[in-house]
Amino acid sequence: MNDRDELVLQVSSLSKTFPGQQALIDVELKVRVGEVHALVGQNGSGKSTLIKILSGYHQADAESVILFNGEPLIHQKGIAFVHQDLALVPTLNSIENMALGHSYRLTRTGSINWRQQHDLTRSGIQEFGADFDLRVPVAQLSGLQRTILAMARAMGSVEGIERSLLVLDEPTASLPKSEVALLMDSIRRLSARGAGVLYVSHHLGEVFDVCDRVTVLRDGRSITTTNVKEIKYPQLVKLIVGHSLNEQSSEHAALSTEQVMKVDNLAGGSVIDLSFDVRKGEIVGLAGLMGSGREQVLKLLFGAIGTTGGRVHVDGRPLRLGSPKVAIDNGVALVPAERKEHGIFANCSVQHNISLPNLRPLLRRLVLSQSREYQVVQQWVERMDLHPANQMVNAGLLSGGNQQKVVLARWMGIDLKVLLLDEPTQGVDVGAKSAIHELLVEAAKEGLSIVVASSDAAELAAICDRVIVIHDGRLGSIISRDGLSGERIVNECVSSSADEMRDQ
Amino acid sequence: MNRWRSALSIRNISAIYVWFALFALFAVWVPETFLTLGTLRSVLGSNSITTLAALAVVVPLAAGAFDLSVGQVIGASSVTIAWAMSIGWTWEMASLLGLLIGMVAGLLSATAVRLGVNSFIATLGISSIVAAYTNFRSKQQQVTITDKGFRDVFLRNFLGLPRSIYITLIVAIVLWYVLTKRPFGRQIYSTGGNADAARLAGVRTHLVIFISLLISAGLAGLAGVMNAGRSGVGSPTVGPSYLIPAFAAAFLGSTQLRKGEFNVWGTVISVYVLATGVKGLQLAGAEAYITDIFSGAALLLAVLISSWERGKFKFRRPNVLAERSASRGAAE
Repeated sequence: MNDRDELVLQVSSLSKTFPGQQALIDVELKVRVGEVHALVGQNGSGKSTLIKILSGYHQADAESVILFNGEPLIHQKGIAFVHQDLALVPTLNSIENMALGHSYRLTRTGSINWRQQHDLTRSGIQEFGADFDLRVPVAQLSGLQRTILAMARAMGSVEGIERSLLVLDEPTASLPKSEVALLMDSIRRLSARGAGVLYVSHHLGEVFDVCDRVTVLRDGRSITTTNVKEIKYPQLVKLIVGHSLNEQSSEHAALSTEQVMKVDNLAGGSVIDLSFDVRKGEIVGLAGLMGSGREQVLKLLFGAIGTTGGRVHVDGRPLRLGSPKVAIDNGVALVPAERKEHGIFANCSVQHNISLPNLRPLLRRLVLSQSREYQVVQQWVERMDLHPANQMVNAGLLSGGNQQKVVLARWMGIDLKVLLLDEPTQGVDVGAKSAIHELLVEAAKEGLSIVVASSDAAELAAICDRVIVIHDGRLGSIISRDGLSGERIVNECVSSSADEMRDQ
Repeated sequence: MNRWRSALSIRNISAIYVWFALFALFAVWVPETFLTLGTLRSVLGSNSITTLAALAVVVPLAAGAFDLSVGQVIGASSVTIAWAMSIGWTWEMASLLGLLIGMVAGLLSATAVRLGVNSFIATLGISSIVAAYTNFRSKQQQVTITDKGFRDVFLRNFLGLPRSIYITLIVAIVLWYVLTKRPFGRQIYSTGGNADAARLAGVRTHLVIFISLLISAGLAGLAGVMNAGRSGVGSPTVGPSYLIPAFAAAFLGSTQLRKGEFNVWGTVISVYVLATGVKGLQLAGAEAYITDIFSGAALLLAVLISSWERGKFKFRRPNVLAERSASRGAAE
């Protein structure tokens, strides 16, 4: 069979030179009709530059070739994009969002033909096997429903084109694990009908779940393209990183019995009644399905959101809940899940981002000492291995992984007792992820107590001494170090809810 | 060497170069009136009030809040002083009362904001209430101040320049110190940069905004004292004319020296750049209404430039989605 006939997208000798930097060098990428093709690589590997060339934002260098169904690509015609943030307007309903960027169908009197728009939207989402109320504001939909709506809208823009290509950029970044599998089904449905899908993700698990072939980018070059079936997870990680990752060794120091934090009957949000304790130098994981309360426990402990009940003791002293300032003064800090919204000051320098909660020691008489601040922050820039290693750049210019390191550095310099981390490696590339894990394990060895809430079971299994599974706002089960594994955590999360259903 | 070059670059202090250009323009256009010591003194002196008003709005702006009541508070303060002196108070006590009126207005705005009213709306509402007080207190008449000692505090020359300039200079230095050299300054900027993140980093953001509005109203009260002293009347209509120039200077100032941050010296420079333009136009025979056009246009232009520099404004818009991915791409 002619190779060219079955390719939706053929990219060859693609290069992109920015002033002073070559972002892409001789990249090859071939997406076949009806396949889900993964594009993976660390931040800075050139993934986003490649996507931006496909979407027409950047112009590729002259010798590059991009063929779409065998023809040179013109005005992105036939390629549909769904970006990580989905670009939906939360206050509008699904029908209105579907029509954004397109024209409305009108009735004979010139008013919008809502019936037709409704049917159009419905058939759009049904192609992905979904059916939900289209008249509620998008903000009230689940993450999965929103993602499907965004995909349906994107596919609407390439309607009538026989062999189209859907580019999905981190589609599961804001999805709870439980919904990811459902999204995978929807994507397979689409490819089964002959469209090509280019799937960009940090989550290698998904690549193995849904993708047929995978192309690895590293340092601006396409390293390899291979069938997913013919490669194993560790091999793929090795290809992405360029060297094999030290998965966290299980040599955990013998745990101290000294209790640092004690939580009794915590309540607030969807947390109904939760009690647990954290010992010195221990890494405690919090697992649970979306909506179990897992997402809120840390915010409650830190005072970011209000509690309706519960007592917390730190080092035996009661902690007044409800104020982040009070929590910090008592040695409790939070690395929030929403890095951009709650963690980083994008328009401030890395220096100011890191030193903010710890300015008092930088005072020389009555003035903040610039040289002292520089020195203190520089230590963290080096220890965290920040890129770029320049504390004067605005934090907004850093990659997700480096921003997360900045937020971590902010707290590591303080005399902390308990560090709370919410989804610490969400949207962070593989390399930075393992660096952050190492850092946490290191800090715990030095006596810091850590609580990690994560939807990534493998992450919890890799670094935790103990995992607390939350179910419907209450303690589900506790998994101790022996017998801790990703599968075990997922099973506990799911099975406890199944048990509950049976009881009712 | 490099440091000096970047410090003196057009991108860093464009306003200074505009200032030179304006100065040269009017020096050639109306040399006999523009290039006099009297003009210099009058521009420097009268704009020490505008500078106070501009610094007053800079503090809450840096914390992410608007204070639209600054103009009316200046009027209320000046009318209160004139009234108090007309019933026999000493100028010292009258000035304290003027400042107090400012602080009361600030306390009301700050409380409304603390209770959850948007600062834009809260200070707009308080502004209207303050205007009512001003009209009640002045019976909508100008109240003349006869105390020579009071006027001398601001008008007498020291080292050849009116004393009001030195008062403003001291205020500017203190604010600069607080905003850049004290932890509280960092807390103000972090609150303005990302209030949620600041709160989670242990900054008491509500308190920061509360205090910034108090500082703003206090400075507006001081501007009112200075206005009464320099003009010799408590006028119910003078206050609002300071509002637009103050915001224009604050936004223009945010494009100078410390890119994208509201800052003291950029604001001070901007006040005088704008004032030079206005004065030159007046001397060249422009109608009085030109001043308002100039201030309004300067405000719009300043905001445009500052949003441009923060990268929110782009000429090229190839595709909304591509742009979204680009803005995120910048983070990768």
